[in-house]
Amino acid sequence: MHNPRYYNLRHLKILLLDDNRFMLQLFRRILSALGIKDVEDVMDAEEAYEALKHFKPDIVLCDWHMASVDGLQFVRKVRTAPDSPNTFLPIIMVTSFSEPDLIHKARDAGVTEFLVKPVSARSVYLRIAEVIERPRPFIRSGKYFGPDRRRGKRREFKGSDRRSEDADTYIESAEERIARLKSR
Amino acid sequence: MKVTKHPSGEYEIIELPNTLKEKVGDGDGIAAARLAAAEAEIEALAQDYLSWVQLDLVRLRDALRAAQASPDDNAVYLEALYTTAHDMRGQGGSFGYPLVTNIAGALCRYLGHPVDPAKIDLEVCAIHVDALHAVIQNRIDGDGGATGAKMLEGIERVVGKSLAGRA
Repeated sequence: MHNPRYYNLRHLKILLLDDNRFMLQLFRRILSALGIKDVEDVMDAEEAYEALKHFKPDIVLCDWHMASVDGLQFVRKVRTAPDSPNTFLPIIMVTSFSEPDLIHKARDAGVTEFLVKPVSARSVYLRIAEVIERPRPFIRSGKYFGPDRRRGKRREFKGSDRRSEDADTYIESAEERIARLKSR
Repeated sequence: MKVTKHPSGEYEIIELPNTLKEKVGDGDGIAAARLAAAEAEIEALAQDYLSWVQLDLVRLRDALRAAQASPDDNAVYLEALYTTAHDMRGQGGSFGYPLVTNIAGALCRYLGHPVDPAKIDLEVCAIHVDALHAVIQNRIDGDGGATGAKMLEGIERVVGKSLAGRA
């Protein structure tokens, strides 16, 4: 297991969205130990949306399965609502789901990265570092707006490609990605 | 911001300045010390986890009992069972209880999402719930060795039977 490069994260602002109080506590302590002090936490997607306006986070860590509005609906709103404060906001989806069709669905909604539960300090740090080191360009087509779901498999522009087609046809190996994240 | 239109006109690629990189700099050294400090924070929460998970166990029992009490109209209780199992699945492994994650995950997969009550055998759910209680009450951490393996095998067997019965 390689040692990742250390970034000074103290100027980052992170918004936590999770309806489980214990998970919020866990994330706060991990982030604080990683040097991130500017953290706001909310338990509800509507509150999170409001927080985007006044707190202006650099990254959101968002739980998927929540009792009221779920994480995917929140992501869709951030990406597509006319009054969205930041449609390009990096959103890390925190999830225990690993079923490929669900992961595809999340990619379609515009999730930037996934953080698989149960989390470790290392997995949290690596996801944040990934967002910093390898930001995804955004794609705008008639059917999709969000982070490029095919990062790493970019093609030369040679005629038509499938980036603008229905999501299921061109989300690159989300399962492989999840497997890789789990193994790190 | 750089916007490149694909020649087909089907989509555009928008490349944004990396403002996060500007905030954190190039990075120096390795993250080992920071990571160790953060792992220590998780370990410090392990005792709190054992208190927190007791509440989850109560929620599981309550949801299961309610589902058993009204077998013809228990969708809402099965959803509650799923939600608590899902939370447990996401937490156990962080605090040294991967068996909790495995068993709760097995219960989530069995219940499915959204839950279809017609496909659920409450006895199978009860076996998962009992196993989760046993793991926590007996503090079976790690993979649980032979006991853990036996538990998982037993669960797999009853789930397999139940799924075969659905077909």
